Amino acid sequence: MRGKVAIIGAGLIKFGELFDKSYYDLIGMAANACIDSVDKGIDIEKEVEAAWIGTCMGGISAQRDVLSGAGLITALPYLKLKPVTRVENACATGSDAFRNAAFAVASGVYDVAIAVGAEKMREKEPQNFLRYVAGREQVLNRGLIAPSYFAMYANAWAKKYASDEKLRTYMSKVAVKNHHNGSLCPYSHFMFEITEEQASTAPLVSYPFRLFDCCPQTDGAAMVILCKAELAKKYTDSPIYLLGTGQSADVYWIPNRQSLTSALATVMAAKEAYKMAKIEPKDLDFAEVHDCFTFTELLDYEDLGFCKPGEAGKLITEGEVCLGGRLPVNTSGGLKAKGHPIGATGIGQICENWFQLRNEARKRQVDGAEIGLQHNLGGPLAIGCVNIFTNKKP
Amino acid sequence: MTDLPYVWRQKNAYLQFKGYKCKRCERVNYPKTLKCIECGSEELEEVQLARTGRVLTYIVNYYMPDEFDRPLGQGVIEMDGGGRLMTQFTEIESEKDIEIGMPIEIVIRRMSTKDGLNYYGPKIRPLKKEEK
Repeated sequence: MRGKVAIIGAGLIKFGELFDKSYYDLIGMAANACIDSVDKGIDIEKEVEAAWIGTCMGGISAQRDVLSGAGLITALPYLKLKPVTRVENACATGSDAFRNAAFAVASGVYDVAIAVGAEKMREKEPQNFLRYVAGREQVLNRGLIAPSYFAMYANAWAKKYASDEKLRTYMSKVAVKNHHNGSLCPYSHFMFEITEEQASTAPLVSYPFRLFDCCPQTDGAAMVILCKAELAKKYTDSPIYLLGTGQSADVYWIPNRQSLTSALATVMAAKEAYKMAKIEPKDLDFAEVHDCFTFTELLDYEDLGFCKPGEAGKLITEGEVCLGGRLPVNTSGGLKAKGHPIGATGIGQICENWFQLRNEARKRQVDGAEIGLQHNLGGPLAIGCVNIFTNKKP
Repeated sequence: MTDLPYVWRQKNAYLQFKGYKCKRCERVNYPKTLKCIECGSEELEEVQLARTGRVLTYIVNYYMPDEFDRPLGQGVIEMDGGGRLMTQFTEIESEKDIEIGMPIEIVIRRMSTKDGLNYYGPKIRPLKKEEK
């Protein structure tokens, strides 16, 4: 698998509250940006042989249900009658759709394939969305919403490694960093900066998370074109290559977990990806990690091996994960500022890898970047997915 | 969605607070399951869970739909003698009333009402000083 698959095109739309665009419009616009990014051009209708569409909430968040691969044909008619698979895997939906497309290309069955991710999170009123999620259970676990799951880990982590006050400071610093990065990223939903004081005094959502600890609900779409590595130079002189990929599913319910201070799904997915890539965390030049909540990013530092367990606070306090630091994290603004249109999130992170590894990230460029990572953590910290990329042919 | 048949299948777990102890690895499963979540064995026996336990971790939701108590505390707890679950707190006003490691008891309370039916199940009640 290592080095067998290249990305020859990547594109996304500016994420945001896109009330004037349909689900299919978002995909069509992302596809246009992606096709335009292929340096030597591609005949999408003739050359793309198969497609994977990652969309998570198709059944409830879009006006028309997008429950099968056929939904992608409505958006991209030139794929008509080609094999299209829909992937749904919680917040790892986009990254897993990419992963499956990569397996298809690596197997030799298809030379060229696409992976698309899209989500329409703002079509329904947030209160209705919340009511649906909170009301899924009648008895046990009733009222659990996304922040609940991650906040459970946050409070356990603070008790074991820090204190509520220290965690508050670390989380605020992550929010400030990602808003700053988002202000430099033209695809970001939020392009404004915030202060630590704003982050630490915003209204409580789910203790210990306050408003600026939570990613927004965002519409978005992103697409990448994958091909067999040997064919990459036909399309561009600067492809990026998939070095390693990993995925892991943990026990779904939190009380049944081995640890409440480490997401083992991330740990195992990362282990698989690093092993395949033949690299260690210290070899990374930047990383796009899952920061659905500010604490999640802190947890990711530890679970992805950027630091030892309990030392995440040091990385953010000393600025090592900021632009200009040893390992810049979420240069795009992350889910926190760029937004989290679930199916599009992972593919959008892969687009940021594409920009960084091709020296196209402008004000947020990491100088001389050669190896980058993309990570998602889905469900109640239950699904981990990691992909690692490089710009040097392995 | 946990519709009525699901809740009916879990009636002993929800209303009598029964756990399902694995004869092979001794893990106490909650609620009822075919295979032990730890070792996969199907040799599970129904046992009475203790009413008391301690808090492993918790959260307090401040932003919830109108039909929920606000703020709404939720916790992961371990019962004395085994069995772990995640459910709502009752009789708390804010995160100041909850601490990791604190002793609690389980009380059976109304969790929701749907289509005219009340659904009951276990909630977490912090033990007050004189009750410890």
